[in-house]
Amino acid sequence: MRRNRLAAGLAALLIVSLLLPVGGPAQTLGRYDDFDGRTIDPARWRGYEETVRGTHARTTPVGQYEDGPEDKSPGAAYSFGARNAERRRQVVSSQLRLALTTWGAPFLFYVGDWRTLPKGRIGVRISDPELADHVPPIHAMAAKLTLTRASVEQARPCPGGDRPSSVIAAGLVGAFFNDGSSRSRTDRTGDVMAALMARVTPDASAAMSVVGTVWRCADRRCRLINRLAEASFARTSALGIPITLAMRWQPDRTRFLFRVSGDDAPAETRALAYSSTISAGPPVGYVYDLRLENRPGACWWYGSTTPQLAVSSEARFDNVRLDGDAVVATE
Amino acid sequence: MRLPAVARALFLANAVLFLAAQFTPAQTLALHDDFSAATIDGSRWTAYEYVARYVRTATLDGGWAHSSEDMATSNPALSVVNAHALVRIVSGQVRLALTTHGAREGAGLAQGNGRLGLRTFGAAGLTRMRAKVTVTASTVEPCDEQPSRSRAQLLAHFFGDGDPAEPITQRDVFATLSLQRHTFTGDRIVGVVSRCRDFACTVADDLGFVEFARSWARGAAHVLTLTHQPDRSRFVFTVSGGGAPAETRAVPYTVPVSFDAPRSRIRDLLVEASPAACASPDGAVPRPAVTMDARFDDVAFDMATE
Repeated sequence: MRRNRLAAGLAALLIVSLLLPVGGPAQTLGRYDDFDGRTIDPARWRGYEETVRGTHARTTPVGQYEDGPEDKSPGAAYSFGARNAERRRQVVSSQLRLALTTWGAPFLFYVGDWRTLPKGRIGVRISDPELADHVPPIHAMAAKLTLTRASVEQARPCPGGDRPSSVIAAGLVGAFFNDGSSRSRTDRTGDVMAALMARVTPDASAAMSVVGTVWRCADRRCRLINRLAEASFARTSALGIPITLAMRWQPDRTRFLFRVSGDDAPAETRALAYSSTISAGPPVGYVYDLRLENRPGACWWYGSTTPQLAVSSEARFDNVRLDGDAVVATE
Repeated sequence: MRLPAVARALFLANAVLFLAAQFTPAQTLALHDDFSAATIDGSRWTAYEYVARYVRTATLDGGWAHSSEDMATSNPALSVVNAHALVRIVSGQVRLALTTHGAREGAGLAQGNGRLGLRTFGAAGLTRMRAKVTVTASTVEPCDEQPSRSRAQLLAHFFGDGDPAEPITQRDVFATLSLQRHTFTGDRIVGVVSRCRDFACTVADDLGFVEFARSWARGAAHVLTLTHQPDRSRFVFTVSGGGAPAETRAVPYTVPVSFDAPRSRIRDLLVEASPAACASPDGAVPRPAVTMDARFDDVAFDMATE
């Protein structure tokens, strides 16, 4: 019965990617943080780091992907995910600086068995208690992002000579509504999340693309997700050049709107619309993040317990803005 | 010519120590990492960071929260907050630096912790862990009369208690040795032996602890060694360096060694920040800050010989 309900809910959230002009009524964003202080303001942010396991084709239900953090408490028997190493999370020159080196996970063996590879993350999450009950709600986020470093170091060549493809991404992540599947205050099932991330594949190119994505939490802790839609932007940019990312949930138009501007190029907007008969309620998760993520590639085959790739990245964030009402509530 | 009594006593004492050393089982302390490379070796270490879950004091029943908090659903007013964090190699040592701020509404809650560490996994049979630790900076802001605490620490799991016929009953026993700063009691060296209350180790109970007579010095290298002596049912903690005489203290335990292999084979270098919890629901009182900036080097392990 429950499975049928979830399936019905998922079907109702079919999302189509639309190319749209800049749309939606003009709504005012307010300044949440411009990192003018010397340190990260604990009244506004809490820092985090995570590693995420890869998605194994034979052990993960069809259509679902690993996305939640591994347990790092001492009770954790072992770590199967990627391995985060060096990191920095600090305020530098009135910007938030995030830097992270992530090693690929051991024990992958046949890479073809994995739908997604393990990854590591570092970031800050909005922590103001005044917004934790989603009143007023956060429907829009924007920030200036400068991805300053994206590099990969391969410890040794792949046995078959293939070239692993690593991905580095940085940007905005948010949980905007729940589709009615949640059963408790801590059950994130049905939370619908969106992200707008700049992306670099350092093995192949230094070019930076931008992608908007929408997904749905498939379990209580959002360890597994259903990917709903993805929209790539036509514009590309480069490391070291600031761009402004903005995303907005428009419940009245049942869509997410993503916008990228800066770098002396015309602003570009993408929309991911959904048709839903389910009335959206507040999300369970209080997740509005500035995030830097490394996904080390892997050789097609290896049986060694030694990770092969170390991926390093660094990003600066500034001028974080939210819905005007939300900002007023935090003042 | 007869030796003075004092000299004879010293000679005898040295002879006893020398002979005792000859009959100590041979143990090889193997260097695991001296951080001489430019970067952290991801095949040996994984770095981690989390905040320990806040728990109502009454539900802990004398224990302390040991599991990580779900940051997506926890109330940020009741949680400690990690802010600045840094992990990197500096001058042939690994530097761990963390700033953690206290909860905004901490009344009735057990003190939360922010933790930042470097972890390696090893085989069963660990008997000794040693590392050089240098604290370069630490602050422990109080909130009114509530104290804060910071620690630079070695942590390792050694064995398990429980019913060997039912693995799910295993409760790991672990030990920590810390250079600790406390708002009111100052700088101490503390060794603690603890046991997980359940398989997942969400809560831990202390089996025993010892405070050293000596203290530690900021900016000075200290060699910390924690040793498990299963045949004597005790842990031995030793600290040397830092301009004070070396000191060794022991903490016995009475729980049985039901599982030779701990469930969690972690060996950690970590900094821990435990800020005071304010009672400021409106946020008028700033969350107090606790920082710990420490360097670790020459990490070595000793395995039991069969």
